[in-house]
Amino acid sequence: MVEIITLILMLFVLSFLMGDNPFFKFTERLIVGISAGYGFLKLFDDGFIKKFWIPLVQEGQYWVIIPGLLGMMFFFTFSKKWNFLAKYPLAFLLGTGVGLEIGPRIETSILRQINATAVNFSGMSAGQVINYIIILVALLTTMYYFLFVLRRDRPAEKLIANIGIFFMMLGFGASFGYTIMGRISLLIEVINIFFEKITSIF
Amino acid sequence: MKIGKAASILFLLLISFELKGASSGAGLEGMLYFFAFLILFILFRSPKIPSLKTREIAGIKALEEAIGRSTEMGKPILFISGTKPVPSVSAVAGMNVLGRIAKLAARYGTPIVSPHNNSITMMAATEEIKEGLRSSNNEELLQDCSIFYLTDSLFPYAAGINALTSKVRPGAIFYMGTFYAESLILTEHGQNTGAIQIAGTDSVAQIPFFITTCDYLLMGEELFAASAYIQNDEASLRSIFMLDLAKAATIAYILIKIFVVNL
Repeated sequence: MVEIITLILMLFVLSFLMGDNPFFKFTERLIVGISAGYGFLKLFDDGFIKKFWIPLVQEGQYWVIIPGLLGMMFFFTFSKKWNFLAKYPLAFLLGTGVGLEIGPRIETSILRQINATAVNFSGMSAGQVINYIIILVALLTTMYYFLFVLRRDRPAEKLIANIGIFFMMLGFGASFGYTIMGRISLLIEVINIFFEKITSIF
Repeated sequence: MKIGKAASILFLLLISFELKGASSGAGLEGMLYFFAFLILFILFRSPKIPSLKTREIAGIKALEEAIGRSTEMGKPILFISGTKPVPSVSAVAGMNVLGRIAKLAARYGTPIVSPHNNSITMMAATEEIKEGLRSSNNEELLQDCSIFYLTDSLFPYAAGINALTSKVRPGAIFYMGTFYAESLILTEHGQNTGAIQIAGTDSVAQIPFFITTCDYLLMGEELFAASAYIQNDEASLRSIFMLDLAKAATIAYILIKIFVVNL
């Protein structure tokens, strides 16, 4: 029974290819309605019941009143007179969120990268050393590009920044090409599957 | 000068401590704390830094041009926040840019349309826009602005924005924050509508797509610097200066460490 309903709804959705129609609209509203209802219940259960009501009433953790009140202060958005109160939880979220994010970023994006850059050449082949030097030049010139106080009036300053841009564009170009290749390989795979199905039928 | 000398000595001590302990990272962490302290000190305590100027970032300069063009065409502007919600650093930086956009839009009387994929981001954006309009004495414009929540799912969000772009036909589109696979879907469609597009993102993987489809781009650190730039006050310039100093010190540190490791 479920499979039949699924198939019918799929056909209703695909009917949009022939233009907007009541069957498509019915399916669209059905999905939106179910998603909204399910989403609200899940949020209410995960956010309010499990994290606020049960710890407060059943476990006696009274400290949850503070985040609970902060969360409820968001509802002041709907009041013209008291909507300034909604800014306090927002400020709290911004402050703690940014603070929590900066710590791990320093560890992963700065400390580890710096330590990994300084390596010992001994035991490296000539090719590896050349590769390393290219990476180092790319890193330092790119970092130089992101210095904002330097005005870059002198030719040498411009040259270093331009080398940085060159390396960045090289990297971005390679990344772009790699993504396009990935998309094309997906297309080839889909075409292959299509022809395999056709040949298996006939 | 005394402070400068003391700072240099401390910096060298930390470097030597780090190099002595090979790759323990302890000295490196010490350097980070040192720079954090120095930034706070220079921000709040030190006397004025004379003739502190920064280089121009094309993307920031173009904000006014894009809004002016939108005004001339009689079209609204579209601001799209990234997929990462507001407590993330990129979203906060994006909100600062939105504040500047709102100020300019208020001056020109151009309405802003801004869909969001997170309720907190939407609230922060609403506050930024309100503040921007208030500071330019054009609060009435808020009635013409449309700031709303669309959906938190990635591709429905992209599809919704594309539908909105086709319907509203904005004169300028701004993308600020972290983006994922939806970036090219959004910017390609925006480009087809003929809107001037300015993006700012810290998503390295998405930068190539923004470069190919947008008119201006704030790459990585430029987005974070942009939020300080547009404040255009002494404290913001000092913070940029100090971050530059930290970057220059990192370059110096890497070079010294390579030299010492290979001795």
